[in-house]
Amino acid sequence: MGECSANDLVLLANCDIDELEERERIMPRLTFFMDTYKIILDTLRQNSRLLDLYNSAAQKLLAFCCKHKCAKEFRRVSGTLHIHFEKICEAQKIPDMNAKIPYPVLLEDEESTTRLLDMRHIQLEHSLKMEEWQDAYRTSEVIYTLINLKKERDIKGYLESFFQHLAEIFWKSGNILFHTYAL
Amino acid sequence: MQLLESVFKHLMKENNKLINEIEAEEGAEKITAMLKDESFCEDKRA
Repeated sequence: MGECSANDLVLLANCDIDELEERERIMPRLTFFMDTYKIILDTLRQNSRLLDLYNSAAQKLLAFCCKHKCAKEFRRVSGTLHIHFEKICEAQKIPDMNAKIPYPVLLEDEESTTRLLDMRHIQLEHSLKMEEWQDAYRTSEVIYTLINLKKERDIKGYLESFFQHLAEIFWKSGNILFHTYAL
Repeated sequence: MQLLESVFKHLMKENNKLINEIEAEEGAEKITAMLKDESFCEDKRA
């Protein structure tokens, strides 16, 4: 009892001890699961040869958050993915930075941009499912950047689903004019 | 690179196995309730 803080005592007084014990038992395992995927993402974020693996780790984590309606964790994972993309963009501007990376993700490489784009589409779908509108808008900006990097003949399919998703975001945000324009 | 790929694949496989085990043992609903409840401690203190 000597190790308990005042906050812990208030918590103990207000909730079921079984509930607390259950939480203590399950939460570390769930945290371990999520942290492992985050480490995988951090390690693979700038390796063009392992982008498929990066994508499947990100998808798994986003799908897990979606399945269990864990909004806080979803925002965190999604934020991490945005930061990773920003780092890739930053590295393009500084050639020395990419020279130090064994297999860097290059935005001028068609294959890499296709994989990045596929991942962001899935991320956008999850954001819409979770009703994380701010994140969905941020992801749509990334998709727009990536679409502009691709050749015109490849972007038809991407544009179609991009504008469909964008229309949904504008509908929810009450921007009816933009919603109509997106359609 | 292949070695690195297989290490990560194995790690992901084991990690997926872990979450499947937790879901089977505890039930997906319980996990959902636990993760969804972001402000568990704050609510109880309030």
